[in-house]
Order: sequence, then structure tokens, then C-alpha cells
Amino acid sequence: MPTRTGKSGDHRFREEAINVLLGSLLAGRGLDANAETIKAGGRPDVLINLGGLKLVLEGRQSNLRNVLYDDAEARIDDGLADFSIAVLYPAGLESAADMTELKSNIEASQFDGAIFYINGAGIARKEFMHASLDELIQMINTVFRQRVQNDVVRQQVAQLEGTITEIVDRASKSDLFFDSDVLADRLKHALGMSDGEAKED
Amino acid sequence: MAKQRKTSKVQGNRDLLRIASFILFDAAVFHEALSATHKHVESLRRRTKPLQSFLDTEWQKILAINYEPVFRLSRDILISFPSSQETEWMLGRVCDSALSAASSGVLLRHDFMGRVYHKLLLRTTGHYYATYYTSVPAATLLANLAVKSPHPTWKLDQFDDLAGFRVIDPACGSGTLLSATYMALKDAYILSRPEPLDLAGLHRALVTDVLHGWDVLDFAAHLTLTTLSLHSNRVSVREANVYTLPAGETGGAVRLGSLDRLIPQQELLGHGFTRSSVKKGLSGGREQEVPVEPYDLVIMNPPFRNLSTTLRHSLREFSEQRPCTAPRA
Repeated sequence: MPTRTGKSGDHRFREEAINVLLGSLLAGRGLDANAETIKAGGRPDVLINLGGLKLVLEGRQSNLRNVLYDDAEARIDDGLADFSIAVLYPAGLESAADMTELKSNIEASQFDGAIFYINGAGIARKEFMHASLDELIQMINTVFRQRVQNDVVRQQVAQLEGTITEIVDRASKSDLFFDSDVLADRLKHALGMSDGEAKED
Repeated sequence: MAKQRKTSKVQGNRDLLRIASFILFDAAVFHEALSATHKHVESLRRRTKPLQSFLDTEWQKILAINYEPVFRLSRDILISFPSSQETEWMLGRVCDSALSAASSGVLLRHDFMGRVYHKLLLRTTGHYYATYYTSVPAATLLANLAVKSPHPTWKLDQFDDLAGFRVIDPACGSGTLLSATYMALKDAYILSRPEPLDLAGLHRALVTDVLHGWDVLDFAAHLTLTTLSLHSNRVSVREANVYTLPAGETGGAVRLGSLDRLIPQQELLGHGFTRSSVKKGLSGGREQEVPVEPYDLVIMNPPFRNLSTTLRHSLREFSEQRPCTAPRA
């Protein structure tokens, strides 16, 4: 079960306020993210721009796990986010004297939940338990890197390789670019490649 | 023999075009990223024909504001091509690929350029220049070990101290190690919980002051600049400390790239990418004095192999004369 430390207070903060605060705390701890609140399906979510990928953060009370997971998965299915994180808030987290105490409570809490992301087989779910804020960041970064390294980068490198090969093949066949040495000389000059260097060893 | 020469020339031209296409792609990706934050820079999606003129105009706009380090070489290459349908077709394909890459967004933050450099260009340039690609995991490990291991005099948790830190990769290639060092220093800064968190200021300091790179290839230095700059395309950079140093026999003298730094009385000359650099008038007026500072950290993957006979001989002579003065990389 999720646990939390810290004093309880007089005010009960709405989940949305906790979501936004949690998003900004994650952003401030190394995600290099711009956290902003968006309207999606009638309720606010926290959208975090993570190096160009969109991460939606959804948080609910811990007794709403199934609803929360369904919503978090739907954010990807709807095309709203590239991946999403569902965070179950420990009981009592919403009670704090003020925002400062709420922030301290969040920083001292441990969370259960799951990260949802697209892999080759559809939407994958990676659950976590008793995770601190720093551990949440590590998990998000891990999923982020996996996605970058395994999917997008490889695909883009292959695509670019195809494009450049196509350009070179077509230029070679047409002879338009290199029917004299002018272009080659210009390119060598621009690139800082002299004939002498190119003939080394 | 003549046939062999012709084959070699054709292959050389293919290699040139391969490298030139990649540099154009590299700039086009950056162009697209900048168009999101600079209103007067037109997106590649709204490109007009002729495309060569469109790119030239937009890159001149970018050069006028900033980013000279990244766009100068790209524009030189762009305007090297003749105005023709073939050029238009080629630029169209480059722009399509750049849009695809830029729209994925995430490519702007990772060593995508380095990976392409490795996959596409290593076989083209490696034979001539003894280039060796540093893998991203190895670079990350090395940079983190270097930066995060306790050091008696380094203070990397205060912005001012960090901005005064100096790192050099004397054979920076596509900038993989410098990029990893960027991330390690940024981690150190963020984990120090600064108030306020000034990531824009940090980016500017890292690119313009902290990180230094030297290489013998113009386009490798260009890639390093792009890789570093793309860590935050929202923050413009006017200066950078990335230089191309001559290697080989030029004007009767043998130059050894960054190894020339080890000769105490010799002025280190090279090609810079900064607007305010001091021109020295050599090699078509492009060479300038490379500022040399006392560095806190030297990080590199030494590439000094596969040299020509002349260079190897010079290097041997050099090391025999100074057996103990060369700092360890």
C-alpha cells in the first residue's frame, strides 16, 4: 500500500492541484520538462513535454486504481500522449495546511502506479510500488530511453540512410553533379577536405 | 590504372555527396526546430520553390540572429550546388527526412546525429581520418564517472563554479563525449536543487564557455556544435569553442591536429565557428588562433591511429623528443 509521511492539515486539496504540483516537482527534478495543465475529456491532466514526447500524468486516490489505469491508457489510445503515468495517491495526502506542506508531503511520499507506453505489441504497462519521486523520474527516463533507442532512432536512422543512398545513387547515374570538378572542389573546400588528406594511407 | 583512378574519383564524389547531404539534413532538422520558437523563420512545411533559394533565405535569417556556429558550414554547402532540378529534388528529399526526424521531437535531445554519423559516414571517412565512433552508453558511463566521482577541488553544484569549469575533447568527432558530459554536468546542477533552476543559463554556459572540442574534420566539428546546441533549441547560442585543427602536410609544415597543442612555443591555429574569432590570414584567411585554457577535465576517445607514413614518422619524432611532456588523455 502507498505510504506517506508528514503532518496532516486542515485543508483538503483537490486531486487536480496535487497532479499539477507533482508534475512541477517532477519537472524540477531533472526531467527537463515543461509541465502544464490541459483539458482532456472534461478533466484537467498534467502534460509534460519530455524532449518532444508528451507524457500525461494522472493521479487519483488509491482506491480508484482500475479507473485510473483505464484513463491513463486511454490518453495514449486517444493520441493525447506518447506515454502516460498513473500515480495512486496515498490516503491522506490531500490534507495539508497549505501548498508548502502539500509539497513537502508529496516529496516525502511513496507511490504505487503504472507507466503506459507503446511498444511493438501495442500499449504496454509497467507497474511500480513504493516509488519515491526520484524513483519515478528514473522509471520515466528508462521508458523514455527505451522508446527512443529501440524505436524512433533506429527507424529514423534507417530512413535517412535510405534517403542519402537514394540521393547518391541518382547523382551518380545522372552525372549532373559531377560532370566537372567544380562541385567536388567546392564541397571539398567547404568541408575542409583537401585532395592531399583524402589520399592518405 | 586510368580506370582505377576513375573508379576512385567516382567513389570520392559519392562520399562527398553523402557527407554534404548529411550536413544539409543536419541543418534542416535544426532549422525546423528553430522555426517553432522563432516566428520569422519559416517552417520546412511551408517551403516554397525554388527550395535552394528558400533554404538560403531562411538560413541567412537564422545566421543574422544567431547560430552562426551551426549554419555557416551548411550554407556554404547549400550554395555550392548548382541551381538545377536535380538539386531541387535532392533538397526536397533532405527536407522530407528532416521533417520526419524533427516531428518525432525526441531526436533533438539525443545523439541521433552521432548515430547516423556512425552508421552512414564512418565507412566514408574512417579510412582517411582514422575516425572511431564512441558509443552512447560508453560516453555516458565515462562522462558520469568523470564528473560524478568525488574530486577535491571541483565544485559543480553552484552555477558560477560550474560556468567556470572547463572541459575539452581534443578529438571530439560528432560530439558524443561532449554531449554526454553536458548531460552529466546538467545532472550535477539539477541534483544540487538550485533556486531558481536556470536551465537556459546553464545551456548557454555549457555551450559557450564550459565545453571545448577540437577535431581535424570541419563537418565533425559542425556535428558537435549541432549536437550540443540541440540540447536546448529554445536557447540561442552565439559563441562556441569547437575548432577544426589542420592535420597533414600544409605549406611545407606537418600539422598534427590537437597534438600540436603539446609544442610549447607553437601557436595553435585552426578553423573556428565563432563570429568574434581572430583571423590569422592563413589557408585562405580561415585559420585563427585557437584559445587554449587550463582545462579541468580532458575527455576523449583517442583516434591517433591509421596515419600516413609521413604523419606517423612526424609523430614518432615528436614523441621521442618529448617522452614525458605529453599529458595523458
